[in-house]
Amino acid sequence: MKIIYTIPQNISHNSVLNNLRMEFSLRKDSGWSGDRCYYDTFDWRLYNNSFLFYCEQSKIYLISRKNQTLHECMTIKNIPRFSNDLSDGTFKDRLNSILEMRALIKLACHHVDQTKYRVLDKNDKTILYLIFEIFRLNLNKRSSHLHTLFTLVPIKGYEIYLAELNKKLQTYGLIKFKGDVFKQVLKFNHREPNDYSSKINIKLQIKMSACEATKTILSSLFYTMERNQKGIINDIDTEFLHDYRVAIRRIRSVFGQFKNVFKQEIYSKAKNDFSQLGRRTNRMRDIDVYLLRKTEYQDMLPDDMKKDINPFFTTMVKERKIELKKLGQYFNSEEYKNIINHWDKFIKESLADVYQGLESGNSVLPFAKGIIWKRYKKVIKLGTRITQSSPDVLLHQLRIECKKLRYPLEFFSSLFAKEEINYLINHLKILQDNLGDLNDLSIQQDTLRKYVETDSNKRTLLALGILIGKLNERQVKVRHKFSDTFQTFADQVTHSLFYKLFAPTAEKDK
Amino acid sequence: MIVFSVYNIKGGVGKTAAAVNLSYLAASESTNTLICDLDPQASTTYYFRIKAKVKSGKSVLIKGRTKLDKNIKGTDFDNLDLLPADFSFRNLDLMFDKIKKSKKRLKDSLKSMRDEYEFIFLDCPPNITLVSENVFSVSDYVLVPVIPTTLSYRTYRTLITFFESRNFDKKKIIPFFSMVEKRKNLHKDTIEKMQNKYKSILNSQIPYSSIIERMGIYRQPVVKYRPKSLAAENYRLLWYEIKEKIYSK
Repeated sequence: MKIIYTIPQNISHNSVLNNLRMEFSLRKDSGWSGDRCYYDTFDWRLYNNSFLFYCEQSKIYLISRKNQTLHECMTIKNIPRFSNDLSDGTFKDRLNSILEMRALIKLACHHVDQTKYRVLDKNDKTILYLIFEIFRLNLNKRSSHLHTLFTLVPIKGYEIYLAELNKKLQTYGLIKFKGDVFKQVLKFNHREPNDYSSKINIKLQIKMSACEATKTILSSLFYTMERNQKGIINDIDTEFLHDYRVAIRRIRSVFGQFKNVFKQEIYSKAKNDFSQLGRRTNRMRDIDVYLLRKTEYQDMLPDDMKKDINPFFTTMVKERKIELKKLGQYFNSEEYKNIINHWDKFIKESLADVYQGLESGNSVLPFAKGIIWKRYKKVIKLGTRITQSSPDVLLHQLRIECKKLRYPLEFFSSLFAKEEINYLINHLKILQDNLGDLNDLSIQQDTLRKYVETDSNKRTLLALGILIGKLNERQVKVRHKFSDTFQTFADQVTHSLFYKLFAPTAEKDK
Repeated sequence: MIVFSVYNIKGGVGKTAAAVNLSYLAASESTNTLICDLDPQASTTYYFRIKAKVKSGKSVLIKGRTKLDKNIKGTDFDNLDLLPADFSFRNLDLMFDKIKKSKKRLKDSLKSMRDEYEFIFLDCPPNITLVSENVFSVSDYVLVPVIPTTLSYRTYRTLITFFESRNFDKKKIIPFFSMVEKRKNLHKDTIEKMQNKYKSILNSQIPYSSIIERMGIYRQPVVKYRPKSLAAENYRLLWYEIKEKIYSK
């Protein structure tokens, strides 16, 4: 385990080295000077898994934030954008499981001057490494000193010397380093960990009115939408568009379900504008999803047929280029800018000007409960009607009803006890996953079938046929699971909790 | 994880030099490597500037994993660790005979290190005892440096016979020529004879080299202190050929 010291300003690092030289045999090993750059995904996946990733001197490092230990290290020619860009090995595997399809983005850099020293015993055997580092922040043309650090790196089997040198350094006046360089450098770049998250994190207060709460929710969603725009235009990875569309769906849900909070015209314009945005991004998202499935589809085919579905993906790639260009043009258009400016203004406007609906002045809690309870009842009513032989369209409707229940549960979660609301959301999620898979498998088969109409190559058709068959098998299995999954959601415990939290007092008194 | 032993009943054939340089090459490719010095002479340990143990008593090799771990030392090179020689290794064969479960412990200890090390090299003493038997049984491959002389040829045949008698898999044996002096006719002739008889002999050969002899002075792998020498180049080729052989299966 490394021990890191910081050298206080009043002590010169040369004096520390000279002191050490008097008692130990030191040999200067290597030195370098350059930048250390930190990377993570837009949604901080590495940070949230307690890792730190940086690049220096053509090497990438994966460090555990918990105990500063090095987990992986690798020499590279270029910074990987995606984990698949790395050559095969443990680093790639580790990164794959954390990053999935998200790209690494450079967060911040600082300058490093590093010199490594070996501490030697009587046999000239290295018994400890001393790494001396000066960190500087780059500010336009000047640089500002950040830290001077002294790290002791033990060698297996020689840990006793670590303890010895540790004691010595303390007598020279060095102080153990307790700072967080990563966070400091981020701050300097006006960032902080998790300053973006795709998860809903809306803090409401019980004393808010319905329209204050609605405004708070819309503000958060709209901000998420805007944060993702640049990533879409620059085509960094597929998840910017995904998060953008999720934000839009949530915004539409607010305008769709939070009735009587605003003037009627506002609802009409919202419906118009946000469904427009959804439509404009539909095709691109569909294509992204297909391209992400390439490996999955290939895995479903025999080895000698894996290449036969390439025509399908080549067509997708071509279409994607066109869609991306169209989207870029749309985002730069006057029409889009007007929509964004309009809603930006709407959200920032004072409450008195805008909100004049029936509900707007009312307290948020009964408002929230009303929406959730109504949605919950619909889910139960529809779900209990569905049997093994029910047509797929009913399951499709249920999927939509579940979404309409999920969104308000998430929007208003801060108004309720954390464990209770999370319990309900988690249980709903299981049902949603089943319905989502079903829908997904159905759409996949449709798309492949449509493509089959356009291609006459025998090998391609054969391969697609196998895929459609396998997807259908999966679909049947998932459909079969629905009944149990719904029963679990509709069980006594979950129902009692929904009732306890959301049933209107009038109903409770009955 | 792959366990290599470097073995020959004859001493002075370049076993230790090979073990040191091959393990260094493995580690320099960023794969975690452990080299175990099983020879009470402790030459490998000396080359890495580490102190051999002199305590008597049960050897750490058969005490189990935790004791083993406590004795492993980091070398001066990234990704390369060493289990130092122990003077008690001179009695190791007696221990294998007398102490219950000792053979199993060695096998278990090595196997349990599969998460830490991708390669383990066992540098064996030049004799044939219960230790060697156990090492053969525990190894995935037995690297045998052979000096191309008549006597060495005979000794190699004895090793094959020994394997047959104990029902060990002969395919584990990977022989290669060591301390080769191309100008000597005896060497040239023996190489040709042995290559005809034993198809598994590697093409890479380690030449006789004073640079390799001086490892005891430099106390570093040849590949480190004379990376551009012919000797270093040959060790690299040897390691490359070994990897090709083990991964082609």
